[in-house]
Amino acid sequence: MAAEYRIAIIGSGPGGLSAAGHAAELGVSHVLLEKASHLSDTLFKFQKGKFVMATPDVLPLRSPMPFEAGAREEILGNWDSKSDQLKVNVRLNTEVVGIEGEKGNFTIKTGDGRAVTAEAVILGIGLQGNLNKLRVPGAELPHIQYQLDDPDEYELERIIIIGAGDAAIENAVALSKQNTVYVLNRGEDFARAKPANEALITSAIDAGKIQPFYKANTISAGEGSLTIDTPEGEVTVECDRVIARLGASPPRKFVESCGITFPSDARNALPECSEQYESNVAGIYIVGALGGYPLIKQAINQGYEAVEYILGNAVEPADAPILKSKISILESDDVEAFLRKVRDSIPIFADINALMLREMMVESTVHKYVPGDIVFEKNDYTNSFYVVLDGSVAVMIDEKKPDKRIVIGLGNYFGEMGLISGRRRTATIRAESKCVLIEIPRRTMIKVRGNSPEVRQALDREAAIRQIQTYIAPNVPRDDLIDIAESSEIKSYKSGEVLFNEGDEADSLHLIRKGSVSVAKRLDGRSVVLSYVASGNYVGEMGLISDAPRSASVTAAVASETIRIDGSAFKHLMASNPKLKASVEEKFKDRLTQNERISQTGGGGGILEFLLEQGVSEATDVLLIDESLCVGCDNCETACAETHDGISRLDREAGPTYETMHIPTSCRHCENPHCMTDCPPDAIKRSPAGEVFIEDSCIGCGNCARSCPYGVIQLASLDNKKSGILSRLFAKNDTSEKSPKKAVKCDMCRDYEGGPSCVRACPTGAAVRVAPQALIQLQGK
Amino acid sequence: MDIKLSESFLAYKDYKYLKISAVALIITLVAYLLHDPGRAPNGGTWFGYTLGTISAGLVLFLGWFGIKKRQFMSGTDLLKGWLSAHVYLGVLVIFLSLFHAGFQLGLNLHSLLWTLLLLTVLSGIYGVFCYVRYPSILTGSRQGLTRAEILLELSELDLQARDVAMGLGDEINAAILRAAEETQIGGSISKMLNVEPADCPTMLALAFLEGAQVSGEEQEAALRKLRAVLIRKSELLRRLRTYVRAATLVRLWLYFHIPLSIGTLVALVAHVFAVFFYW
Repeated sequence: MAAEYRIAIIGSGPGGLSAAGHAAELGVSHVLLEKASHLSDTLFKFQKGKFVMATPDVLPLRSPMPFEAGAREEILGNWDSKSDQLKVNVRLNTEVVGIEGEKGNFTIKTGDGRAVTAEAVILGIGLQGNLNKLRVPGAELPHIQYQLDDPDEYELERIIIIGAGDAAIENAVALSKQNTVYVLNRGEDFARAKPANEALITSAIDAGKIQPFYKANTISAGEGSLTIDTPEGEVTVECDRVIARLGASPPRKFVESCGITFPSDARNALPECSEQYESNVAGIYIVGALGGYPLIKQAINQGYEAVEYILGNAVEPADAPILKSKISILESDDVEAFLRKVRDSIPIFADINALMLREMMVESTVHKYVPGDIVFEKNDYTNSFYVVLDGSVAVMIDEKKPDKRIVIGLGNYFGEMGLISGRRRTATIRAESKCVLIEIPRRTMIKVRGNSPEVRQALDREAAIRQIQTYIAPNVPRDDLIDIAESSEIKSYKSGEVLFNEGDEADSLHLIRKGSVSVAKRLDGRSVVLSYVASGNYVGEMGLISDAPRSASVTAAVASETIRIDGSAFKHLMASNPKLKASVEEKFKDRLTQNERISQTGGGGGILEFLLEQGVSEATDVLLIDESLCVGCDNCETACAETHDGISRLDREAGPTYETMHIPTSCRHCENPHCMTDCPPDAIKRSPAGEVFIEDSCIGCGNCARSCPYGVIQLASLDNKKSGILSRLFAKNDTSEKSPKKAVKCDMCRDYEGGPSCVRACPTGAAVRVAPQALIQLQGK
Repeated sequence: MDIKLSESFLAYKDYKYLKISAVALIITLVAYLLHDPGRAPNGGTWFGYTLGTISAGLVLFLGWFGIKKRQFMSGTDLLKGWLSAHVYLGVLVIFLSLFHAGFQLGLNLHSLLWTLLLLTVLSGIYGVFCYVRYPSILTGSRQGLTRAEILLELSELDLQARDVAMGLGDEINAAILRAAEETQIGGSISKMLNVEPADCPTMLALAFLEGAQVSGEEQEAALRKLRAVLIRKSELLRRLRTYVRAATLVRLWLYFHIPLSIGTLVALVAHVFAVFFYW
């Protein structure tokens, strides 16, 4: 007997719904089976009003189902009405309990004892239908739940949230407004969550709104209570509700019962599929999170494509037109050949998976240069990463001597320092021959590096060699540095963590590649900061040269990374290279003189400590006010407001003061801006001149404001434009709604020729903007 | 600042405008002495007209500062440079206009102009004095706290005082209540300028406590504590009032300087008009 339907789609999430919509649109017989009483249960269970992102932004949507970034309610509403309009054949409240048969004739058994037959199956059941549950005695009690729809439903309850991920944090913070909330965290911090969420919960905990239990595990649940194991011993907490956010995993039993196999036994392993999303059971296709595509937009496109594949049509991947436009500059439209070439000729990308390579290329730009063209200039603040796909480029070591240069050829890369330190470009790059370069944005490259250990290793090894060459041994041939780079290791330090202590054995040299450190010495029983060392410099040479214990302690001033170079290997290198030896000794002598000078003057009266304490060391440009000149006229704030839609981005009076140096609340344009770390629309940018600014694509989520440790970002409606006198006199009272709030901050008046208006408008000369490095170095003079 | 990053408007570009003004003054003085008008020196000679035109130009330039100060959108120059020029050229114009008039002053419209100009410049010089004197007082008085923080602490002290006073007599409670509710910072000009007003309810309450009679150790301890709280409050009040006084003085002169300068501009127009049409 012929099957009832051409396609049966299981699960009405983004993937399944899109497949059903496309089948309906094409007039293909289909049925959409959904366990819940409504469409798209995962999205339905999102926290009320949650803003849903539509990443990757550049990926076009190919489906009858509309999808744009927006509130949960809006998206669900659109999907409901579109599936009505397309007359999607949907059966709600229908749970699938098994799939039997083979391609051309599957029997799908449902929970009500009935069955449907179909020629092909699309499995879009996602993971959220299989939430990880507590596995402790009492886990079945009614006060334990695994999801939260509307935090406003609960009032004056005692609620325990279990988990330290984004979902747990979002729930905890939302509930803490009108409930007593405890968070049970197995670890010691919330580093696993998105930075903005981490900041959110940390501040809620600091403010006493949420009470945390760290290193805690659930032992058992009782009526109205939860017993947990903490470092201080067993505690039983009385509560009205427990919300456990433990993540989700594939419904393995069910999937395996359909004949689909998993590559490993890991709890979160996903079934393997062909490039056309077909599982090892011919005729069963897997789309969405279960198939390894966790993003909504990807799943929607997959649903569409799976239907096309079932119908025997070849479809280009959705990103093909974008990739074609990217390579049009090469007068070619063969995307596959281009991707093959990238993989074959660029060693660091040899092992990354096809999907990641495509995603990376979608966000990258292909450039063609002729000899002499400048790719970027020294001291630019750009931070993208480049690979050479054809021809070669030259790193200009000395601007004045064009023959002093390093040639970088086919398959190699440059600009990798920008990935790490966030400082200016260290050298100008010119095209050496006719060449083709791929420019990969910093964010994308960091993602690729994070997801691919091979890329990371290759980058780190090469980076160590290049950084040692650039910052320590410019005259040493690259080959002589390979050994020393091999013996070195990359170390990360948290802010305030010690690299080494005064009196320790001097066994190594640290090249600071990210962040900065402070050097302090004990004088008369108190610790005096002698200097501040920024990335691109090294510390620890003094002990090596003088063969003495460490003469001072070195502490990370902000989160930092160093290349720790083995002391004996370095001495060996110096012995064979007199020029290097001379330059290191020169540095040694300078440091000794400076340290002595500062020690004798008693350490500059603590101003350096003050600046370091205030995080000035991570700034690139900071506004300072000389209080011995400031008359408090607030012309700086007025100027700022006048030049920025009526909203001042600086608060003169607020902020710390040391003697007469005042640091008002105003953006410092940090080296590695905290605000940039978690901006969903990627709206925070750094211009080549160094200013960190927010673009109009800001969605007003407030992540940046929470991430900024200096409180310089505010959320404001930008409709305070000054109107002319006539319209002010005669316009009717404007009661229209305010425009939505967006994040605003100092942009250093990048649109104004004269530079920062706060400084320009200061009548007495009290307001100055300085690069802290200059400031901190001045101190030793 | 320990580290000299900033440069005062007075020292702008190594005293560029002071030097310009001084050189201009010397040249004018020499020219004035060398010039022989053939009669008593006055504004009607070619030399007088030249100086008059320059002086009038300078007055307009000085007045332009008021507009320049509010032009935030354009320009690449620093306002402090303008203020530096404003100060030194302002002093210069007094001398130039005297040379222009050949020191002939009397009871007439022209001398009214000069008098207004002189008063404007004198008020400006006082302003410079304020700009040099008060910034350190503004900062010193706040001791790193913002005004809002001081106010917050004051209201906390009030609550504390009322708490401690609970067990003491009605009269003390009334005085404390008055201190909490009626203590005023600023208000009229004279109040803004008075750092230790005699009628401050907090001071009165403190004085009242000095003579207050209580019985029992507990009450005595409370009284001592109350005194400590009020002394702390009065110290904070004094600091805040010192701040308010400095913040007032640093602005107050402008209330003379600006109307005077407008008066000067009007008198200048009248002077020029009178000279050309009725001389």
